[in-house]
Amino acid sequence: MAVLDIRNLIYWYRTRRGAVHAVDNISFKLEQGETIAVVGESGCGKTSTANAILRLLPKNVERYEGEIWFDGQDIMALGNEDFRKQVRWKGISMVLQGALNALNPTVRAGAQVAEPLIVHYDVDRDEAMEQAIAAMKRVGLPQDIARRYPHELSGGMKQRVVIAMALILKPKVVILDEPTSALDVMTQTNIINLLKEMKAAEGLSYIFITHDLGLASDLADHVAIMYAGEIDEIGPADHVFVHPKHPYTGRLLASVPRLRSEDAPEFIPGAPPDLTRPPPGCRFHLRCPVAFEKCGWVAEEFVDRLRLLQATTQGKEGFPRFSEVEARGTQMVVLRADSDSPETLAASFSEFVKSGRETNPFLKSVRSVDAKTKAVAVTLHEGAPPPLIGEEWRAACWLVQEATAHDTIPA
Amino acid sequence: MAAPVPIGLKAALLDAVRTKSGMVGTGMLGFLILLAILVPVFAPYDVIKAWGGTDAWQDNPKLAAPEWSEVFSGGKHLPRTIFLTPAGTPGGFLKFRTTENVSDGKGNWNNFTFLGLKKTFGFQADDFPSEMTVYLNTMFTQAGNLSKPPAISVIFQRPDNKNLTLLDDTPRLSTTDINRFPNTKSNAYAVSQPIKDTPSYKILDNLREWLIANNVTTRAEAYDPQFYVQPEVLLFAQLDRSMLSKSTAHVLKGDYSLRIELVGFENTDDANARGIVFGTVFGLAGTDDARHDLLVGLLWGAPVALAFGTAGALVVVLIQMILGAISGWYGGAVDELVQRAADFYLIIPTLPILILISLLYRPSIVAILFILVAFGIVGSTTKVVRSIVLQVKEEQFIEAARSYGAKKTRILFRYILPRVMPYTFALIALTVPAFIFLEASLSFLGLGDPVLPTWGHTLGLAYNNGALFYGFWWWIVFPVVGIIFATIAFALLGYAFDKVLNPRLREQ
Amino acid sequence: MGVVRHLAKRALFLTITFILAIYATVVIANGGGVIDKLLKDQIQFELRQRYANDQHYRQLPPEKQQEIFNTTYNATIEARGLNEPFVAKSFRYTIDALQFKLGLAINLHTSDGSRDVGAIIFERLPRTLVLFTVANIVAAVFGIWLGLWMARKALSPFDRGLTVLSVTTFIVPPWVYGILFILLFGFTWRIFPTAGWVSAPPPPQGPITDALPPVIAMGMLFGGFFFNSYVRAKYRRIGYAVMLGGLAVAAAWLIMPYDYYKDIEWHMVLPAIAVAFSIFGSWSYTTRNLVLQVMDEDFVFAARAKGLKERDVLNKYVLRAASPPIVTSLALTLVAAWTGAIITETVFNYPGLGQLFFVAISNFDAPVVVGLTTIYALLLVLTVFGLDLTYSLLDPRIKAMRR
Ligand SMILES: Nc1ncnc2c1ncn2[C@@H]1O[C@H](COP(=O)(O)OP(=O)(O)O)[C@@H](O)[C@H]1O
Ligand code: SF4
Ligand SMILES: [Mg+2]
Repeated sequence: MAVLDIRNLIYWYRTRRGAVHAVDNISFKLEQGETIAVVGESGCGKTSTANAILRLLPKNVERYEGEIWFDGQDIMALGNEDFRKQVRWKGISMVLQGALNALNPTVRAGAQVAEPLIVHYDVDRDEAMEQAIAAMKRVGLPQDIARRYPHELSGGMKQRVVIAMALILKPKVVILDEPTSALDVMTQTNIINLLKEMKAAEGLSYIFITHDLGLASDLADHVAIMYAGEIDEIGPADHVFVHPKHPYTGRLLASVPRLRSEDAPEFIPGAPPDLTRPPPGCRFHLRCPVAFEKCGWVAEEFVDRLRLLQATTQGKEGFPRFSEVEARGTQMVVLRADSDSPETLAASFSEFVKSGRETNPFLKSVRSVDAKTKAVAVTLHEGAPPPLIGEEWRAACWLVQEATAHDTIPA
Repeated sequence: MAAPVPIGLKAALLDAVRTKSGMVGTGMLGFLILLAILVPVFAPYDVIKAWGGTDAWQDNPKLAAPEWSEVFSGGKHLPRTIFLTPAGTPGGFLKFRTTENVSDGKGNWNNFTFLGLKKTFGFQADDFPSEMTVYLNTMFTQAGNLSKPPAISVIFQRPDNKNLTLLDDTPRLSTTDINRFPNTKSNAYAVSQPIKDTPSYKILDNLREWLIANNVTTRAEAYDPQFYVQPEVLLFAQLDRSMLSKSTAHVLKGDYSLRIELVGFENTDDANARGIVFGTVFGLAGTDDARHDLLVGLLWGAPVALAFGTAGALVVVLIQMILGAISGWYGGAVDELVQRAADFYLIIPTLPILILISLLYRPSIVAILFILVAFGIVGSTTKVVRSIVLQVKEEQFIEAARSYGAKKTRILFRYILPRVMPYTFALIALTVPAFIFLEASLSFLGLGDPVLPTWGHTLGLAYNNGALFYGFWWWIVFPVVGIIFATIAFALLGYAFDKVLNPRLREQ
Repeated sequence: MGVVRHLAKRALFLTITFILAIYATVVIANGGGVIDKLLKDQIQFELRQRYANDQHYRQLPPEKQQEIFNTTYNATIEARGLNEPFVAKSFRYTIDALQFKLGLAINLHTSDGSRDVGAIIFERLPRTLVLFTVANIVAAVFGIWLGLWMARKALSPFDRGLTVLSVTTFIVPPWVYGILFILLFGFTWRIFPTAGWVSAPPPPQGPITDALPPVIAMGMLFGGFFFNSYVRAKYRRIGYAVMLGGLAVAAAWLIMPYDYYKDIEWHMVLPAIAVAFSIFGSWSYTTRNLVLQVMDEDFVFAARAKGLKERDVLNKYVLRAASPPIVTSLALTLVAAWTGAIITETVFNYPGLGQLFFVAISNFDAPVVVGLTTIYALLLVLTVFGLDLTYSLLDPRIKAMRR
């Protein structure tokens, strides 16, 4: 049985600009003793997912829904006090992102490691300190570290203190939120090795949050690729990393620099979308090199792209000569020309769409081009968000649906 | 975790103005600025220059409450000021004048002028007027002892026909005026508060006689040294014993007239009159003891406070910001120096010194501004900016700029100061009130600008003239409201900035 | 050790600053010598007046007159120390001030006629101290409590409303509220006396214990309040009971006979409220922001993740981290309130140090001004140093920084 089963988790923030869809309907499972890596560019909602699991909410929560089954119980249904007593740290602990700041600067390291024991088990202070020192020893920290203040420790030592603190109650699940991103490479490796050891020794399950694919492939049994608050692809690490199904995963992998490879790393063009207004259809379609009709283009995006193209290819042969372009509703774009008649413009635009489809995926969204009395109406295909398809290994991309209707795990 | 902080000044400004407090603050400030622009049109600077004098204000009632305060008087109709305008103006005094030459039979002709001036006015208010004054302008010939000055009587006619002569007078010229032709003499007869040894002082005796004649008091009672009732009450009260105290007296409503009779001893003698029956309410903001229209002073307070506050805050905060930035950016000895200067300024007592300087030199408002700036070279802004700069210093884009070899000064001006600017705006907005109140404090103590009627100045006058004690609330409340309104506008703006720049305070 | 060196350095700098500040005040309080001239003119004028009425003097020949006049004048100037050049004198004054030889006032005196500056100051010191300490404590306690509450309800309409209220009230200085309060509570509703420190003539004086009830009431209110903020819910009844007791004592005080001490306390209510009203907002706003800021720190977040109760997070983590800056501003505002007292005390005609400052300044009584400033600066320096000391000893981070 899965130790943690997250179903349809939704977690939005309320801001003045609108709701931030930081976690938008996410589901995944974590098996006992396994590690699932949650990978994605920064700002895609990884930390929010972690905080949502531990119910560490700020004041500005807009929506917080879904089921989180932990140890056979839906912990979303627990009251706050029960949740605090049963889940936090005892069941699920966490190494916070920016863990180096997670230590109280005015309290000695040992006391901080010991604190959960006092809070949850009412252990007396000396006893707790003893256990803390033991726990610190297990993560490779000498005894005298316990008496030091955080500012007297190096980054690597602090990280070990934080890990000792996370493990002190022997939780079933540990969430590691970018546990190594502030460390140098050598320390990083040490910490990763430590995490592996601890997992083996204590039978832990990890949710390993990172934007570093290399680390993820090193540590994870399963991976979940997140993009703009959603999971795009999830499955066994060796499959996802070797034969990515989702174009985003592919681009992500291609962007990792490799030591023994001729290929230069390719960066993904564009920036992750604003989560207050996630793109309709497939959230990746604005940056997807293979996007097509179904991916959910809307008139506004189309107009933006067209204007951009007009600005960069100004006056080139074959570029339709329109003077105005504007969106009408979500699926219609209107073009006007000063010199050409609507018919001429419609013809040249159709021609342009046909020839430019491959280089500019957004043109694929054109369904029809009609000349009206004064202008040309371009109608776009309706799109929809692609569902996560598959069993063991799932991806949310319309291409995946067409190519592989069933779960394929290559041998 | 939290939403990003807008970095540019413009972005911060826009964001700040869009918050609710920002909008309210901007609205209030806009109103003040509009006022500041319109006031000089409505009441030119000359009016303010004349603030110190009395001439411009003498037709206003003294210590009158705002007209609209009538609403709180329980349905009473409070008297407005009634102007009895001179003959020759529309609705003014009516004038009859005849001349007569009478022979005494011995070949001497006596030339007479008989002149009557009369003005009828309705008085329908439920309270007594606050004062009454009659101005008389007499023109006559008096050269040596050759001819006599005219004889004047001022008669007050009441609706109940119980009329009385207020006074008889012969306007006499001082010796220096005697040989000027034609002789004119302007006399103001303060009916309500007659001054001893002036012609109008007779009014009191005339009133006593009138009361006795109408059986309101006995003679002994009327001539008792303790006996005093304000003339304006007696004149406008119903004729019975209740009139002997203002609290029991009833107003006699109806048409009153003021009649002035003159007998002159030359054919050329002439006269004209003007009268004011002062009300107890005036304008929108009332008047003070010097009859100033407080509205004018109050309105003028806005541009003065605004200019003083913003100028001071702007200069002081900018200086402090630059010093703080330099101190944080260059570090070392410069930093040490600035820090020690900050300690020094913390320890010397600014306000007492300021008061002392004001007392010694009575500086103008501009000089006060300079002194304040001198005392504000380093201060809290220096500290805030210094700590921000220390933070920014560590950021990567600074490192980057440094690594490609940009000069330190260049980085300071190109990268550091722009980052600090938005915070500076918040600090300026929050410092403006401090300056407004400093000026107000000095003015309150009577040490501010000697000419301008700033809010603090008005407040100080009110306080020192016992406005609190006598309940002249308008004299106190309006300047206070002015100051508070202006400062709250800035406080709200500053708070809006704070909120935008300080993500923890943000409404996310 | 580092801390000692650091403290020694600070002490040295603060001493130098202190001396400089005193010197600056001496120079300014004497108008850079201008006041000397004023005083000399005044002496000359007074002498003229005196001799003008002196029959004997007027009969003397002019040369003799001039001679007598000059000797008297010079003697007076000498006696008043006005013949020295100002620069030399300014150093002497400064050294005297640093030794707390505050000298004699020029024309101010205590109620029993002493012109000793020290005596003048110490006659009034307790009044200001009591008034402003009480007002500050009330404002601080109320403000901090409100701030904590606002932080807990951060971003709710309640919090927003109170934040705006705090921001807009603390920007207005106490004397402005003073005037409004005098108008309302003093003259319109006649609840409180409007000016002064004690009625004239003062009511009969009972034993000093009569002064205690308000002190006890306030102590009980605050005591109960603090007790409650540190104990678990089930003990809070005790705190409420104590607070209720405090209210009862306050009520009892209200109906007690109106004697000397009650009169004095009654006179202090309005100024104290005005002062408290103008500063509580700064407390609540600062507290709220500090608490929210600390709450946003990763280590506080971590504490919540660890499963600490919200109450413990607030008490053990947030308050502990937020209290040093809060204590700093408490200390600094307390001392700074003294200069702020000038206009407030003038408005209330309250015979404390602030009013003394103003009267001394208006009378060009430089010794009193310098004396007041010296004591004020000393208090401030000691406060700053005390804060430094406390931090160096308490906060491990600062300790580390100085190593
Ligand atoms: N408290 C918050 N209020 C509003 N928006 C937030 C808050 N915390 C995070 N966000 C936004 O939510 C999105 C996801 O953030 P996060 O979960 O931290 O991403 P990641 O960990 O993948 O970098 C970001 O756009 C971020 O700006
Ligand atoms: S659905 Fe697939 S093809 Fe379409 S945009 Fe999304 S990732 Fe690209
Ligand atoms: Mg993150």
